[in-house]
Amino acid sequence: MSPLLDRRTLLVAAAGALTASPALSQEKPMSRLYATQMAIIEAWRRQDVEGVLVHLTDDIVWHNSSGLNPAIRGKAAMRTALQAMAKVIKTNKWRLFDYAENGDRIFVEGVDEFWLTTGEHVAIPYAGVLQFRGALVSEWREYFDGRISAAMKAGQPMGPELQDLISRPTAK
Amino acid sequence: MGRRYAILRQVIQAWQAKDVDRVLAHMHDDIVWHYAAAAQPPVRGKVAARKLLERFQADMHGIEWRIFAHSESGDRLFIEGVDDYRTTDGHRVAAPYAGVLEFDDDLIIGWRDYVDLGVIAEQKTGAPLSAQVETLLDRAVAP
Repeated sequence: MSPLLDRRTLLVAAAGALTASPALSQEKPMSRLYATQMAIIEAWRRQDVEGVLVHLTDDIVWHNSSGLNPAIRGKAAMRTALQAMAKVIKTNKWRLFDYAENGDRIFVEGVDEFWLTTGEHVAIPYAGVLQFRGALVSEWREYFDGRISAAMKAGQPMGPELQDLISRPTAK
Repeated sequence: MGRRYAILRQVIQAWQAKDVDRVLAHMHDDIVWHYAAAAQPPVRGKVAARKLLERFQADMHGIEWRIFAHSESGDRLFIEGVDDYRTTDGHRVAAPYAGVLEFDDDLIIGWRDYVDLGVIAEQKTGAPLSAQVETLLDRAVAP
């Protein structure tokens, strides 16, 4: 199995691949960076890999495992990873609960929730940072505990604490 | 410097000085603290927070808690940083993480840190920091 296709990478990407149906917890005008983040989420919800990649620089660096695994570097590698995920994810519900911007960075808190074609339901609460160069994302860092997704794939149900974390209003 | 970030800096200084009371002074009585969001149940309330801090303190030495980037929105502070310290056994632990702090006025009432406990567990065995962790840590500290 390709390193890009191991379970963790898959789950992380899927996690990163979700949708955000805007709802709301905080009223604030949609900013440029947040609009791009939302466009990425909406593209992934359609499993439109190119629709995600169009928002990234060619030299994108994707730290998608809190330092457990090496980063994915470059658009070509990211395309390979996303295409592999799109094949095994049936539906996703990637959404954000909140965000804040500072200069060329947007900080987000959300959940990568998805269902695999084999039926497993996985939800990974996470926090992340997208760093922009101009209008494009040049570095993407996500932080979470990857063992949670492994446990869900092994059939463990979501605990009440995790349910609480992902039951919050979606950002608007 | 934003108001919330200034408070966090005081918390960091207190923690690095191992002054638990001064850390707790910045927490709300009803704090819900996810010190490893989703991976561990949260600690609820200041009494439980004190116990957790005292437990942490026993095995954390030479603490170099650093924040690389931050942003504020309303009553929330978003941070990206590293919890860097030595265990009593002398092993270096450096866990990259991102977190969100919610404030009630100037007191922290919600705190969620997202980190991979698997990375920490490996480091606690004495394994050297991985190249990917080193990459995440090789950044300037936020002013």
